[in-house]
Order: sequence, then structure tokens, then C-alpha cells
Amino acid sequence: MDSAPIIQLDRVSKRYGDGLGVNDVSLSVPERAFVAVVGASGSGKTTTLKFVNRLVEPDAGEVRVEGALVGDADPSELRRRIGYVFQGIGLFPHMTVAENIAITPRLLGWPAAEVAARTAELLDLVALPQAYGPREPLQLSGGERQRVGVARALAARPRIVLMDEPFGALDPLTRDALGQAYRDLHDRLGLTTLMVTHDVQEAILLADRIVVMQAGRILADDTPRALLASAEPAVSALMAAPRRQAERVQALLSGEGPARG
Amino acid sequence: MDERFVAAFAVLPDYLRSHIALSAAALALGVVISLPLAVLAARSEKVRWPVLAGASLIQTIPSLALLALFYPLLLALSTLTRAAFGVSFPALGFLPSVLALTLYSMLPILRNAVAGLRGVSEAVREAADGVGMTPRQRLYRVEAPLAAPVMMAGVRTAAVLTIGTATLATPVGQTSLGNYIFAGLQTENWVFVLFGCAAAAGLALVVDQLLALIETGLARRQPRRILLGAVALLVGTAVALAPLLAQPPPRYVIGAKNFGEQFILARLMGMRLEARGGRVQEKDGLGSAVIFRALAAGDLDAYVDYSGTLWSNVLGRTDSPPREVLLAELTRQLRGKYGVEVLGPLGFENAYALAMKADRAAALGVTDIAGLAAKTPDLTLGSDLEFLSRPEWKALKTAYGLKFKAERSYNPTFMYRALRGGEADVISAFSSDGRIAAEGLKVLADPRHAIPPYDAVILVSPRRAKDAGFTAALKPLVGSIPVERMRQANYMVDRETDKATPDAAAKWLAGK
Repeated sequence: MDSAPIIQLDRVSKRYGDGLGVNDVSLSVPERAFVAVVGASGSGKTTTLKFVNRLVEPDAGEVRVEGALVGDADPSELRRRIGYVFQGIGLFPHMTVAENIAITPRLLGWPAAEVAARTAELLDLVALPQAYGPREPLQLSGGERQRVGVARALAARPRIVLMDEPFGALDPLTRDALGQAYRDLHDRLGLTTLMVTHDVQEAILLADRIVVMQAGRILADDTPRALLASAEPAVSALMAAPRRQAERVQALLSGEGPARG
Repeated sequence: MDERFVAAFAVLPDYLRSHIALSAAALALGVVISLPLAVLAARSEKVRWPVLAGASLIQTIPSLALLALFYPLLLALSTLTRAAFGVSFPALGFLPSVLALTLYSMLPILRNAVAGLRGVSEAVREAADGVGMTPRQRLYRVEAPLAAPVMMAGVRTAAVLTIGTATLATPVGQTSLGNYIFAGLQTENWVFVLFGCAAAAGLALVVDQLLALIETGLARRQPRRILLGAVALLVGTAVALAPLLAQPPPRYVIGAKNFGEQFILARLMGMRLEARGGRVQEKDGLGSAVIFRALAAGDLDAYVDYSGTLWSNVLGRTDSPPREVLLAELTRQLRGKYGVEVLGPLGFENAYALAMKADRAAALGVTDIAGLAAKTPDLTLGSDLEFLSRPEWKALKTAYGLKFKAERSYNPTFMYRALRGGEADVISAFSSDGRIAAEGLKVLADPRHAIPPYDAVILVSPRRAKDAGFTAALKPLVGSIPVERMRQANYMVDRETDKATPDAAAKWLAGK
């Protein structure tokens, strides 16, 4: 291990009334890693993500960000240091695109000129035209809106970005393009990303490491390559579809006939 | 132009100003109280239920009753604070009206604000938390702006409701556009009634449109509309209130109950006080129960009441002594118990009396109530709205054993029409009513003195009783109005055509 983990969950639990929740989860994410958390609905993956910026408070266990216990931090200040890309995008409908992007820098009290410069810079970064700044979110397409969502998360130059099903609502083409574009930003800006998704293929394509959750527990936590080779039945089942798809594509590309496997 | 229009326009600035002051204060107070309450209610179910239920409950109380209830409540509070801290506050007029209207305005504001705040989607709320807003920043930057159009719609409803209901402030002594309506209803001056309705509706429309401008401005995020609407409302209110603030409070407050004779006599007293250089405000249309307590508490300086009414309603007496004895005893008791001074009788009586058409009475051979008693099973009694529930009616029934075929209540004008049209055979008339002579009615004598005498007397508040200038101004009225003149003055106001205003009738009475 080259450095101390930037995000660390140590035996964290959260119980909900309906029996769902998170049970004794430990996870550590090193700096600059791209970690995807996959699992079915109700497996606890989103709850696990929300422990990191205190959108959910654990019943037991410790959560540390950059070495410090998050429980000791002011929740608002903590969240301003961590980028967050929302499921369903979550742009503020009464603010323009530029105002949405500028929200966290404004909360941090940046000077107006600096906020404006940063907003322009971010529009470029997520490949949106500058003319989009004064528009309202509802005037944009789904993909464009999520680009704004990414820009908003990156506005205050966070070291950590949390993503909750960020591309789930988009069509497959847009989704792939946006995923790759984000992965480039992740590398370029040296971010640490923790992404929740139910799409295993997306996780395999984007992440360095995949955490598989089931019924509130971590089932597996390894590289995509290792997981694809896993003999663990539940993990193997989860990986079956992407593996089959990859094999099929491979077969087609190497010129084999239309025979099916 | 009709004289009544001229009279209506003459008092419009005064009424409109008071109406605006009252509605604006109540609405502002309603918004200031309701919005924070709505924020709490939107967050917590434990707060939401009782707050909304309470506001709904208030809304079910008839508005007139709510206004009327605040008077005794404030009076009791005022007495308490005077005893405890030596400070008292007026229980009549602006304060009870504002408080009642504020309560009334709260439900639409609360309900819409709660609905608006709760309508903000969970995703947007979580986004606000996620980007690092504190709960307060989330409220001001996200929830409130998104809920604003719905909230504003509630404020609009409340504004229209408040402006309409403010007309009911007249009976608790607050001048409003309702003064037209109440005075008009009592003196059958339909021009006044319509004028009052139109003025209140016009005001409500203008305010609603300006608030609508703010609402659409909020919904479309156009600051110019919001500014325009807000500035117009503020300027309008300021223009209406400016003279009110500059004007020193009136020196003398004269009360009147809710019928023509009272309006005329209040004006007559006002004219005499003005002639001595005093400034006078009249509070018209006060309820019988409210008016004496207002005088005793010092909210009024003087008004005219009737000895028999005071005898039974204030002193709670059921006996009926001769008029001189009653008057002397009344004067002594009111002075002793309340410090209220009976300045003296005006010279006429306004008693409840039973009256019939003269020819009908002659045909039946009836001259007094004792004679009437035998015929009542075949006759119908027409009364005004309160007579049948008053102690006088009970006393009459018991004394003579009256059993009418039917008893019906009417508004006074319709009571006379019913008698004319034969739907009623006997009516409860007032002995000073000008219509008795005009319609050729026979007033039936009361040989057993079941109904106490009803001398019109000037009552003076405890404070003004010691004010020599004040009593000197009113004293000359004592014994100066014989019943024929009062009837004539009343008829000028009450007749159905060529009506005069109470002011004109008072001038006629004074100018003999």
C-alpha cells in the first residue's frame, strides 16, 4: 500500500425499520482509486456511499475521510469538500446551469470573479458550450444535464467524488460516452471516485476495483479481472452476463460463425 | 347625482383608509406568524397536525362571531393587566378586529405554504444537502424559492378573504367599508349597501391582481414583476396610511347601536361637541351587548341607551316600577356599580309596543293588549329579529296570556310590509318609529305595565363624567326632543323614498 486510504469504513452498520440496511461493512479506498460498488436494490450500496459524506449516519462503526473521523466534522463543511453526483441528477430547477455549477464555491464564499472563471472552466471541462450557462436545466437533454451534475460535483476542486447511479437514467450510447469522459477526468484530475451502480458492465469498464454487496454485506472486493475469474457462486452469477457478452463479442470479432454458445 | 351617492363619496377616504389599515395589518401579521409555523409544520408531523387542525377550526367559527368574541376577551385581559401592571389597552375597535382577522387569514397561508414546502422533491432536497447546504441555506436557497408560487397563491386567498371579512369589523367599533353596509342595512339605504360592497370588492380585486403579479413573477423568476407588485402594494398602503398616522387620535368617541335613531342621535351629540371645538369620532353599528361595556371601560365617551333596556339587560331586573322611580334607581345604580353617569332623558321614549292597523283594531274592537289577548289565537304576530328572544316579550306573554296563531320574525322594513300585506296582524313596533304615524297604526296600550318604560337617556363614561366641558356640551339635549320630533326625524331616514342621511336628520333635529 503506497499511502493511507483516503476513505476508510471500519465495521460500519446501519439498521432500517424494514430489515434492510448495512451490516458490519469495512472498506478502504486508496487515493486516486476508482472503486465501483455493485449489487441488487436493497443490498446497501447507496447507504454505504452516503456514510462517507454523512447523508446517512451509521449506528455502529467508524468512517474516516482523509484520516479524520467524519463524525467530528461539520456535515455541511464535509460535504462541500466532497463532490457528489446524484441519482436522478438532482439539479436545482430554479437555478440556471451556471448557478447550479457555482453553488458549492458560493457556499464556500469564493469571490464572484473566481466563481465565474471556475464556472466557465467547468463547462469546458465537461464539454458543454459556454452558451449553456444562462439556460435552465429543463432546457437541456438528459446527458447534458448529467454533465452539469458532474461539473457541479467538481466545482470546488474536491479530491473525492461520490457517484450514486450517475448514468442510470441515460440511454446506452450517452451513458457509455459520459462514463468514459468521466473516467478521463478522474485520471486527469487525480480524483478518488466511489461509484454506486447496478450495472456490472459499467463497473467493469470504468473501475479499478469492484465491491460486490448483497443483503447489507460485502460479498467480494477485488479487481474486475479477479472477479471475472471468481469461483464464488454469487459473484460468478453476477459476472456471467458481462462475461458471456464479452465472449460473444470476442467470437464475432475473430470471425467465428453465427453459432450460439 | 343622488344625495346618497354624495354622502357615500364624502366618507369614502376615511372608510377606505381604515379598511386598508386593518386588512394590511391583519394580513401582514398573518404572514409573519404563518410562514415560520408552516416551515415547522412541513418538517414535523407532530407540529403539522395540530397547527392545520387548529387553523381549520378557527375557520369554522362564523367570522362575525370571531370578531365579537375578541371584544370580551380583550376587555377581560385589559382589566387583568390594569390590575396587575397598571396598563390597559382598548378592547374595542382596531385591536380586536386585527387579531380576529389575523387568525382568520392563517389557514390559507399555512395550508399552501405547507403544501408548497412538502411538494419540493426528495431528490432536490438531498441534492441541497449533498452540495453542502446547512438546513437554513436549504430552506432559503432551495425549498422557499421552489415553494414560493404555491405560498403566494395562499397569501392571495388570504388577502381576498381578509378584505371581505374586514367589513364585519364595524360592529366591534372599527371603521371599515362595512360601515356603509351596516348603516345601509339598518336605514334601508341600498345605495350605501351596494357602495360598501362594491368598494370592498374593488379593493380586493386590485390587491389580488397585484399579488398575482408577484406570484407569476415568482413562478417565472421575473424579478421585475415581483418588484412592480410589491412596490405598488407598499405605495398604496403607505398612501392610505399616511394621513392616518399624521392625524391625532379623535378626542371624543360617540357610540351608536345599529339603527337609524341611534345614528341620528350620535350625530346630534357629535355636532354639539364639534361646535365646542372638539374632534369627534363616531362608532356606528355596535351591538346592544357590546356598547354599554365599551362605555363603562372608557372605549366610548357617550351614547344614547333606553332606560328599560339598561334596567333588564345591565341590571338584570325583571320588575317594572313607574318611570320616575326606575330612572332614579337606574341613575344611582349605574353610577355606583360602573361609574357611568346618566346625564338625563332626552324627552322621548322608544319602547317596544304592539301595534296594529288602525282600521283592523277598530273592527276587532281592540284598544289595548288586554283586549287583544282574547283574539290572539286567530292572529299572527310579526316581530323584528330580536323581540321574540327578549325579556320584554316574555313579560308581555305572561302578563296578558298572549297565544298567537303564529309568530314570525322580519327585518324591520319587511315587518311593516307584512303588516300592510296582511301576513301579520300585530307587530312589535318601536314607539318612536316614524312609520307608526305615517302608516296610520294603532299602538296598543299596556295597562298592566308589563313593559318597562324606555326613556332615551344620554350615558357618559366614567372619565367624561368628570369633564365639565363635555357634559356642558351635551346637557342642553336633555329634555329637548319630544317623541313627535324624534318620529319625524326617524321617518326622514327610514322612509322608503326620498331618504335623508342621519346627518341631515340630525341637522333638522338641531335646527328647531
